[in-house]
Amino acid sequence: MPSTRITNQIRLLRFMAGEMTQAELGERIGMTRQTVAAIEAGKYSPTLEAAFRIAQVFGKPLDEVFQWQG
Amino acid sequence: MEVGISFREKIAWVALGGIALAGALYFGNLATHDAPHSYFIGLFVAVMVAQAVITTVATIGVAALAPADARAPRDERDRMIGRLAAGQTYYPLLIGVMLSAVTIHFGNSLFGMLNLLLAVIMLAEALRFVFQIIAYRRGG
Repeated sequence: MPSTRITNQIRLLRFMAGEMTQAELGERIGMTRQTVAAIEAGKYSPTLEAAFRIAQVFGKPLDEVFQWQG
Repeated sequence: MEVGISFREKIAWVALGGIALAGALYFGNLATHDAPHSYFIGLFVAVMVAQAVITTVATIGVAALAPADARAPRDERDRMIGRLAAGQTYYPLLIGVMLSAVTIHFGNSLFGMLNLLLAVIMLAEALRFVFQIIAYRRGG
């Protein structure tokens, strides 16, 4: 699957959240480490529910976590 | 950025290897041995049991190397990849089954048709795992 038009700040937000690892984030949102890595790399677009869960982990609005480049 | 190999992708590789080995053993024998049908029925059962055992042992081995990954349930990306792969193999399987069945009207024996069906099913299963692996390699 080619890279999506949705970018994200997850890597930065993880660093700012006490250097949270991909595995730790994955555990909190019910995803594998590899899926979190794929999301960060723009290779996989999460479902809306998953995107909201990620934003909730960081305490940020959805559009501060994900941006549409269309 | 390298995503890394997930547990589910490793299982897909193991399953693909199992199907390929089983297919090679059975159809290799079918192509090179002139034996009664009962021989091939017994061979088929033996190959399927061997495939199940080898695949199970290999899966346990993969799980032992990464127990935390193995314990994690399938997430939405795993389920999506599974659905996509199954959907992509549906039409090849359907066409293969129909073509196999038609061969009986062109002089193929019942035994020949059944083996064609078996080959189509095994190929479709192998294709399903190939599509899963491709999806995982691309990042899902």
